[in-house]
Amino acid sequence: MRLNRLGLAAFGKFTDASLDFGDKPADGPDLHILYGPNEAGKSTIYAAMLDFFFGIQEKSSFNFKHPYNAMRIEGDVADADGTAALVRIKRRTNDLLDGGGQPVTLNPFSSGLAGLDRDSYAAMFSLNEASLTEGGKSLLAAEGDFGRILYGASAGLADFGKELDAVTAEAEAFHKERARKTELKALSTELDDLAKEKAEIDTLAPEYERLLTAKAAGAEALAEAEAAEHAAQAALSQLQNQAKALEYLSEFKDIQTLIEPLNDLPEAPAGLDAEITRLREEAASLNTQSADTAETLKQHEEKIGALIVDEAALSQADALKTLADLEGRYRADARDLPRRLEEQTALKAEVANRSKRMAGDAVEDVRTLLLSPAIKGTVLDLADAWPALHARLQAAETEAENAALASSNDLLDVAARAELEAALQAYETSDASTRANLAADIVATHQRAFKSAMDALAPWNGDIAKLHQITPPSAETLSGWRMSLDETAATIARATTDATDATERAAEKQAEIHSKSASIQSLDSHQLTSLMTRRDAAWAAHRTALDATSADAFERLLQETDAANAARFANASAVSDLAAAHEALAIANTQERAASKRVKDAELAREETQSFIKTFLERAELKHISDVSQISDWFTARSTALDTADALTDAEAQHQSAVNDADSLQQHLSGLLNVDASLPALANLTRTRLDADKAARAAAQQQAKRTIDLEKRQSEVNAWRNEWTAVLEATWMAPMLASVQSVKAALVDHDELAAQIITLDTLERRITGMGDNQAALQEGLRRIFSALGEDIAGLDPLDAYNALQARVKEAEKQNADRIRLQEDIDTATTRRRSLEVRMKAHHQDIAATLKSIGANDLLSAPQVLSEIQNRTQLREKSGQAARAILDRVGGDDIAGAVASLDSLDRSTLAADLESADTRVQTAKAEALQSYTANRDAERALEQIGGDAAAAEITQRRQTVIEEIADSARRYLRLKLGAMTATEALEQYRASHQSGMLTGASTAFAQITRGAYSSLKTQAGGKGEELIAVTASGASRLDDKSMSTGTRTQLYLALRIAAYHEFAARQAPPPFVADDIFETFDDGRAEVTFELLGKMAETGQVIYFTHHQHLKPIAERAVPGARWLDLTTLL
Amino acid sequence: MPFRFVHTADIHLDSPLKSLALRDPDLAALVDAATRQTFERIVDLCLNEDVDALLIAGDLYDGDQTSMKTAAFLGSQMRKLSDAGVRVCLIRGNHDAKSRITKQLDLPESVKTYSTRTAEILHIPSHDGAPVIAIHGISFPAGQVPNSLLPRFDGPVGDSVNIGMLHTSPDGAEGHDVYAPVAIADLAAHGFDYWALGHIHKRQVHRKTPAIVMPGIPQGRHVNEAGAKSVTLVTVHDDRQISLEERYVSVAEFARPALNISGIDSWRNVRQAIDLELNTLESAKQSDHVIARILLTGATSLAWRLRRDADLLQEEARAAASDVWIEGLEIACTAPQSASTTDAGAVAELARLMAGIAASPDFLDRAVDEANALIRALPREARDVLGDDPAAVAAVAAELAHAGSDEVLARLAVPAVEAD
Repeated sequence: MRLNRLGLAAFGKFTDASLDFGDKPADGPDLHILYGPNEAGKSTIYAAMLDFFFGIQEKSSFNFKHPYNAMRIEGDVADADGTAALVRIKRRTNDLLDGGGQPVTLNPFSSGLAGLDRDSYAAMFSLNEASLTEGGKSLLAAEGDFGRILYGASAGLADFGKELDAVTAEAEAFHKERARKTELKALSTELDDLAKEKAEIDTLAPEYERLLTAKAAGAEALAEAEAAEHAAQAALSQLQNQAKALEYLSEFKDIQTLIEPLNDLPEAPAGLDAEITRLREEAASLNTQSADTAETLKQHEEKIGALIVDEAALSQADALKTLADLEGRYRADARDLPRRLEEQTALKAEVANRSKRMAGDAVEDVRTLLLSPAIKGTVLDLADAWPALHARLQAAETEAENAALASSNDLLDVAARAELEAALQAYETSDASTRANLAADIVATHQRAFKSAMDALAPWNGDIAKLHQITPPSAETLSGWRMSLDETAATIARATTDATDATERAAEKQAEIHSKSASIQSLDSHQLTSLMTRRDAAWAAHRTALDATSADAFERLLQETDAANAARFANASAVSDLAAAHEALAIANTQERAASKRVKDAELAREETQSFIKTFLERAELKHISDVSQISDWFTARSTALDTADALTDAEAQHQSAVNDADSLQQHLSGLLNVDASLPALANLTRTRLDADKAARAAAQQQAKRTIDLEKRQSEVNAWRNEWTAVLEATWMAPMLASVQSVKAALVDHDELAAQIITLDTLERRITGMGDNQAALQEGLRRIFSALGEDIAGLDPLDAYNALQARVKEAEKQNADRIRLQEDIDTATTRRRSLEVRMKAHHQDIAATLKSIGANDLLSAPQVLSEIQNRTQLREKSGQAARAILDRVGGDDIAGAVASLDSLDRSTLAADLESADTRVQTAKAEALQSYTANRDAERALEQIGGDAAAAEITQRRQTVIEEIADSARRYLRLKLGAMTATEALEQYRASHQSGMLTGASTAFAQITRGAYSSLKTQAGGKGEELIAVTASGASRLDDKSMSTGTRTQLYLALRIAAYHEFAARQAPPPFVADDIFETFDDGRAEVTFELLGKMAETGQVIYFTHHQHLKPIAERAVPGARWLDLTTLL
Repeated sequence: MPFRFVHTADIHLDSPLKSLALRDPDLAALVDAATRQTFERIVDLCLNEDVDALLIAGDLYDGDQTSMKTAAFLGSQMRKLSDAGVRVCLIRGNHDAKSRITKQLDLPESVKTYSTRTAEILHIPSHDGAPVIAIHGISFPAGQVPNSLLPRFDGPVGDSVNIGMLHTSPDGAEGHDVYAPVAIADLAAHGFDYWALGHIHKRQVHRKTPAIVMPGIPQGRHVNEAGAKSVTLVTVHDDRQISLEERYVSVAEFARPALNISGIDSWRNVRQAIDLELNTLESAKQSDHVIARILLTGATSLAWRLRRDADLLQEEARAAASDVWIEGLEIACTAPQSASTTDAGAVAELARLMAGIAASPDFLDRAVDEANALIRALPREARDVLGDDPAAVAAVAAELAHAGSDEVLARLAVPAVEAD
């Protein structure tokens, strides 16, 4: 497949750029060198080529100028079947179009590109500096594996070797025989660790059974051990008690010895000791008390004998007490009476004065002046009510006067008011004025629109009526004209180009004929025919003549004919070319004539159409229009103008209607008010008139109300006057009736008088009472005195009272002393009797006590008591010892116990004790052991729990197994995949080795200009190894033997060989190389160009460079190479 | 008042899930002890629905289960039911018969474990007008029972609604199938009203009248037990009619979607197709989580790249749905026809050569040798991950040889390109 042209219609920075590679040259190399400095767009062109073949990439970065939906790459593609124009656009599907813009259904590239995908094509059919360098390196990496080298070079995959090693390494990371650390080992360890972890926390069923058994066995053993321990402990305790009892036994025996001599003493009751002490103290106390009592009694009897009492005075004590109150009042009245009498005189004078003032004359009985409380209350109420009543009356009078003043305005009659209100409402609801204003604005707008629409028709300047008369051409007519003009213009342009092309071709062919004719030596077929005719004639002549001359002539013509034939054969292709050129010239001339005729025909058609248009425009008086496209513009303007004219007429009509409505309203209001003014002013005046009328009506209503109010107030006042007069006329206040103030003042005097009369009455009652008191006191005193046989005459009652009181007090004191002494005597007598009783009992007690202990008297008693106490203490100690013994040996028979203890052998006992203690310790240890076993089992069972810990570990182990399974499968996949790949490479090598080795050998020798003579293989580490042969021997590809640059060139040689290997089987797609000579000297560059030229004899080769200096080198190496300057594209 | 019970089987308590997805510690934490969580949900369902009984038709544990923690957990759940007055009827399946913890179980009195010798009957008297119920059942005496256990059942109890519990391989061939095979027709003819079966992990309602129900495993444990799993809630109405409801209880469900990506030629669009599939799985799920193994099929120009970068694709796809976890991504895509048949390049030639080698008998022998060498290096518990007999290992080796050849070729065929 070959690319004849690549059009960058819209791609990257290019717009409508085209790279024309021309047709495949008939012979010579199909090599294209595309020159452009940096940024000229080499990589864009390369990308465009790939995108053209394989589709624009989904996330293309070449959309910075033309967006995705505008991106477009065109190309002319040639293959064995012919040439096709194709277009690639950016779209998800159907992105490849044919010349007619229709999607191409069958991919025309699939066979031309050998079924390669984008990546494979890029790898195999393009070369650049980087891929060459990488390739050189890959040779080093694959050293010893020629299969890899061949495949890598064929597929253009420099990384291939590394990748295969990586696959193997990846597989072996999981598992490798005898490797120390692998993923598999790590996973296995994890599995083991989890198993251990689970074993630590989990309890399995067998273990559970074992624990149950252990728990039961432990419990049983524990019970047995505890029983044994108890028995041993009991035996030990018995022996220990016996030992202890023996200790108490000797003590017990000692006490018995001490008690023996005391047994004859009597048994004394407890506390006898204290009793004896008490008896001795009591005897002393009783004797002392008896002597004291006798003395006291004697003293009191002497005192009472000496005492004397005033019995007469004592008998009058109660009578005197009844006079105490009268005596007190007598004292007070003696001070008060003179003052009361003065007060009475003064008050009487005052009352007389006041009553005279009130009644106007002296009054006999002042009490007649006092008013009853009812009358006084009524008078006061009336007097208090008066100021408010009076004020209300005055206010009502003032308001009535004001209302009368206010109601004096004029009023409208009902009909007139109704008419005015109706007119005002009509004005207020009407929008006539507003409409008129709005309509005026609209009219102005339409007028402006109309004027500009008419202006748009310029230079045409008729009026609207005339405009109506002009008929527009129909749409069909207009488009017919336009199409006719467009078509004829296109036809003329195309045909003119065709004619020019044909003329040029004719000229070219003419020139070719000229030069080819010149190059063909002498003969054309006519000349040969005439020569042959002449030769045949000479032969005929020679047969006739058969002489030397005729023979010479025939021989010469025979040789000429042979020479001409030979020359003709030699120039056969030139001759045929010449014939073809003649034929092409004839065709070009014919084409030129045909094209010229098409131009003329089209010109005639155009003139015809133009004359139609001209006629129409003249009829319409539109001579200013020169272009057919202006016709429709002008008629569009015409219909706009007509439309605006209609709109203006409508607006004016609306405006007039609104003005008329407003005028009729104004006339109506003006008539009603009889005033001539503007409509708003009339409306205002109407409102004022209606408001004034409303106010006057309200005032009239108010006046009536006030008059009624005034009358009510006056009748209130009159009622008050009647009551006032009636009440006062019956009293001494009748003369003051006219003045409310005077009445109120008189009432104050009245109240004072009433109070003074009450005070006077009280005073009189008091004075009378004082006299009564004095008389009663004197009578009481006289009676007491006479009872005592004394005379009161001549004595002041108060002095008499005081003397009497002193005598009675003295008599009472003497009487009290006598009573107290008698009481004391009674007490002492009682006490003496009681002492006598107690002493008798005391003596009886002493006698009984002494008898109980066998003592003679109180002094010898303590000695006897002490001996008895000593015996008691010894008996207690003996009892304690006996109890201690019985506690140890059991039972309650102390005698039996003593006897049994006495029979014991002490040395045997010590030995028994020791062995019993040992038995107890042993039993204890056994019990503890059993307890521990039981408890451990119990705890283990308790700790099992229903948690998920064990299940979780099982889950984790399962997941590790899954991971092992997955990794194991991956390991095998990679391992087996690597094995198939290695074998496949071996087979690949076998089938391609000879062809590629030969091609690469030649190319490498050429590139290195003979430094290396050839390539060969020899058995190596991994298979067959590639060796480069120099004059001095074989050279391996390693760093020591070969420079990096040379290795890169070796890789290039292999790639060139791979290309030829591919081309031998199938027509190759275009090959692209991008400036691969950076590291090449000019000599190597030149020979490499030759190699590219060689490749270009098989397929299309495109070489990008920015080195202009390569041009002469390339032209020398490949004379037929075509040079395209990329700078012309932009 | 109807009699209601929950019917389940094949709990396989505390047996692990088998999935590579659990390497993700987040997922591992979420589906932690999944069979336990599921069993707790079943118990909760019984309590929430206030049912009368829970019927477990065998295989409460895995056969090699010996952890007493499992037994203790089961005991606590049974006590929960007992406290709420829910009876439990338990028959032993083939796994239970093998399990050693079965013997040590300490279960409350309300749990009826059926005898292995003869089919016992549990009579449940009527309460609040409910029908009288007779629950028949028999336990597996051993791990394998080659003959039908149906003849050991009595006939239906008159006046009672009869429910039979049987761990069995339904319609299995007697003599060949060692899990108490029985014909569904024979069960139907026995005269019972409901057959509560167990053993098969896929739910199937064999008949509606009489109801013959295989409830399936309530929590799938690997991708071969894919789909939503459930228990059956059964209501015996007062008129003795029986209605069934399926209730989903699983914590996680497995899914194995196959995605045909024919004609999708951009990496991003493949991603989108996978995302869409994952979202569909997420919205259709009945469990808390979905563990998916995705199979990509179809002809696409990305076939090689997908194969080479499958791990990358899986990593990218992971984020698409929060409750869907990817266990694996299997690439079974092919390159488009036009390219593979007419390809003339070196890559195509190598591909043809490799395919030929991978298929050759000689190479397959070597592949089996490689596989056996690997198996010898595997830990004991993982020895059968490549197959448990020589024929299976050979088949796996052949499959891996082809897959490996494709995978390695994918890595050797095209220059590495960064993912877009």
